[in-house]
Amino acid sequence: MSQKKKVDLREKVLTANDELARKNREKFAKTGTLVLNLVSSPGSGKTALIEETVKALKAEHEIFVVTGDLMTENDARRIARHGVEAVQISTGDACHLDARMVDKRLQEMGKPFDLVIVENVGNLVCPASYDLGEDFKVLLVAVGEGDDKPVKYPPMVRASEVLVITKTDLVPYTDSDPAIIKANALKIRPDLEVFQVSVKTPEGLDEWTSWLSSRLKAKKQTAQGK
Amino acid sequence: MHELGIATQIMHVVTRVKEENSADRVGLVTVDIGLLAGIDRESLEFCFEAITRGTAIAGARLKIEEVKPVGKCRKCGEEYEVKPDDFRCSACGSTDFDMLSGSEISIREVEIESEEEG
Repeated sequence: MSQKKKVDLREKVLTANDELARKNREKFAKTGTLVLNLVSSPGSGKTALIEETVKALKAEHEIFVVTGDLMTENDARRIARHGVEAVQISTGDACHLDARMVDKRLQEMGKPFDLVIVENVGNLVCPASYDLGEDFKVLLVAVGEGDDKPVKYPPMVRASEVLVITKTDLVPYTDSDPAIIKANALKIRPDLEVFQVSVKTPEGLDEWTSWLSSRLKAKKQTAQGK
Repeated sequence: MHELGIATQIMHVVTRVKEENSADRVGLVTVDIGLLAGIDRESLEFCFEAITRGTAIAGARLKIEEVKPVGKCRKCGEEYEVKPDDFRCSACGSTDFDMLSGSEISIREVEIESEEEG
């Protein structure tokens, strides 16, 4: 005779990652480290935006960049040229970064930073489900990649706090309209902070980096107030 | 797109449940998947079957319950099914709402079988 039994679980599948992300977040709160998780399709300009961001902020802040791709260390090399610490996570065939990967790279550095920028694998699906312990996700959508991109990938828009519309210098050469990209994204997440930038012209970059500076300051103050 | 990773996590949890209960076999594993979780149902079923073959939980079957995305408006209190391309309140159009469900990936229940002693 065999006996059947049902075990009531109600357990989140990504509990292990969520738990590690929570620990990461606690560490970052203690050191006053602001952590960004950049997500987008491949080719939306994550690396270029990071390069401009570190150029603007490196004089006043200790910055660490973690970049994820399936293969090559090209992105980390591009960023390290600007004189900040950058490591590449070559995921092999994984389509996202997880909390453990980020924690491991930070532990290897052995010191706290003011700003950690994680450049996730170019993919608008999986990184939405994996919390890294970041303060917020920054979603990039480039001019010309499809103004309806935000409504095609709503979970990622939902998971993000900031939208950066990139490559705005290309507007005259495409049928793309940043206002439509923005409106589509706000239908999914109305409280998104939206920036429009071009690393070429360099429209909107100052606005983005000064907003980031104020967030950096706020995070430090919260940590010191404890 | 990361169904293999999700399937692997489910396998770990189910294996743990089987061991904790000293069970001999695992039957139906019921999981709740939100329609906004970015998980493809067929792909998850395929991955789970493929990776559990020949393991301690071989024979376990996945039952996927799809969970509709539901929002609750903070202005008018309406609870509504969220449209995939427009999350605003269906009653008053407000953009101020809480998501009640739709992005979960969780294991609801595991059916286990044990041979009775003696």
